[in-house]
Amino acid sequence: MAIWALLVALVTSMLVAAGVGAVELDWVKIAGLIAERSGLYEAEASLVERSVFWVIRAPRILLAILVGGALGLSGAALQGIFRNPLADPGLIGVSSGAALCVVGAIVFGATLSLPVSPWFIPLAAFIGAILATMCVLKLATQGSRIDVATMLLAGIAINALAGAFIGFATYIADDAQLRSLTMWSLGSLGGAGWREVGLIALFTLPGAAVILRQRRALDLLLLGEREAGHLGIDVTRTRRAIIAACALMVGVGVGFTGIIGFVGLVVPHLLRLAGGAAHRWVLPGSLLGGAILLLAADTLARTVAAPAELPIGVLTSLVGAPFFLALLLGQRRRALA
Amino acid sequence: MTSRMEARQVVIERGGSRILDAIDCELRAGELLAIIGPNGAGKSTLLSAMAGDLPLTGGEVLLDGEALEQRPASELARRRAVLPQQSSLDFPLTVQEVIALGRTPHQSSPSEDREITAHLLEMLALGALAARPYPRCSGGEQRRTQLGRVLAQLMPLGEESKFLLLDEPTANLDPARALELLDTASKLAERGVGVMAILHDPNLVSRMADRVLVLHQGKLAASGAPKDVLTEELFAEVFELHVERLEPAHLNYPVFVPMRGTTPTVFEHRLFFTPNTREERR
Repeated sequence: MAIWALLVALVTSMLVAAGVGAVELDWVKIAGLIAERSGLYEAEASLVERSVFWVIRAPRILLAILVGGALGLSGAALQGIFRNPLADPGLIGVSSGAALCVVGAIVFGATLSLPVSPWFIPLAAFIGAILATMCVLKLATQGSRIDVATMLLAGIAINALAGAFIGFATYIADDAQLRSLTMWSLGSLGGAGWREVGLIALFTLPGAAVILRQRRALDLLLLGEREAGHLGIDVTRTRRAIIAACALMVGVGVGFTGIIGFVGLVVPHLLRLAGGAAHRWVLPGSLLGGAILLLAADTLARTVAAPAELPIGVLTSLVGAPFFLALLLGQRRRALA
Repeated sequence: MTSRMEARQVVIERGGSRILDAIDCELRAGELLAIIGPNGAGKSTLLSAMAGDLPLTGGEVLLDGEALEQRPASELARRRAVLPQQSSLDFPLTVQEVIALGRTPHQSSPSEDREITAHLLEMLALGALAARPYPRCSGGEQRRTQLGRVLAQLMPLGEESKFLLLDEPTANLDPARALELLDTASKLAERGVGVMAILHDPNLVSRMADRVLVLHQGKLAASGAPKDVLTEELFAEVFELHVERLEPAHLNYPVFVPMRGTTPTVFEHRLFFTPNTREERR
């Protein structure tokens, strides 16, 4: 039921996102342009409208959906395996681990004569993301439980390390490298073409499938690792699969769009408030919710100060950071009560 | 031969100290076995070892004569359930959802799972709380919910022999609830489940348990039927407690009244008498 409501919301926000901008398109026109692809129908639309829709807006919308869905879903899954609602790919260093490797690849790639290919950046991002996640998990695990303070502190350390390294790389980069660095680090969904959409979908969809299949195991992990083991779950394997899938999705997303924080924190939390913590609801809900949130944020980012464009990472952090503080306060109050 | 779980000569060392020292423990299908012993005797460690949670330094744990780790995880999950001493679940799963999670190892139909869950909710008097988020329940309600979860895991009884390990199931329960819980445990035993429970109250053990196993400093101090094992000498030796053992004519089990510890308390120390009492200062 509620999933259907989210689907409707997603389609609505897609229509809005496709419509607004320098060239306005109403939904009849959008529907016409899509129907035209079947070849049975010809829409009344100018060449400009056609290319605005197919070349600029459609791939951008799909990119926002893929990256937002990946962030929401990874947030929900990471919160499940860390058994804490404060885990977020940005907060615990997964995103900046990916960023660190991407920047390293941009600046040192040529020196090390690494092959230049479209696969290169996503691969680097994936490696960075998975290393960071494993680091945090190792550091925060004490015996059979995961220490939240250590988890957040490890995230801070990785974020700081990545920040320093990115600063250093920026300092030594030459002009051409600097330009691609800046373009990348601003974090934008603009400039997305169909090739990027295809590439990200190639990584995100299998990752999402892996995580969605683990919904029952994630429910059991909430009970505790030993308890999950007693119920027949191979905890280590489940955790590994989820971490790899999250790193893949977040890594590739970060590789293309830069760091976009807090989507993975906000969305699952709201969903748990609305419909409980069972993962058969939270996981697909977070996928859709993340997509809706990022699409809405991106639409806002490109229209609120048009023709200029706000970096989307700035926008999500602006909303997400106060939300995080409120969550932290709530958790502390509960601990004291 | 009845189906059984066994610990054979189990040794567990942690950080250089020996927590369990060559323990033999047998849990037969259809009995209620109580584990008692003072704090730090190794009771929980023994239970974890029987559950297969701990790497053994020596010895082996067997289920029907075959090493635990050689059994497929799915079979173990169907046949042996563990109720931990405490569970931290901070996410708002409902009571009903938590109990239903116990059905995970079974290939039963969703309607059968729902039926079992509903039955357990009713049996544990949790019906009114079915939709309440677990973190918002009281301590006692949370324990009953977890009990429901492990019972859901063992249902249906009868096909294969099942085993239930309870780690201090009566902790934080009021006397009525504690008795109720052990009553449930002994009914399960009557229906063929091997139940092992770590307990502290000698009267509950005496009344409910078929056999009792006493641990002391990581070693087996005694085992057998409660009325043979639980003697005044055992309490003095193992628990450092003087108890009076009474055998009321109308009961078929002995009862125990703790009198005082065997070691002097801090108030009996001479410092409490010499300098402070008025008579002596005068």
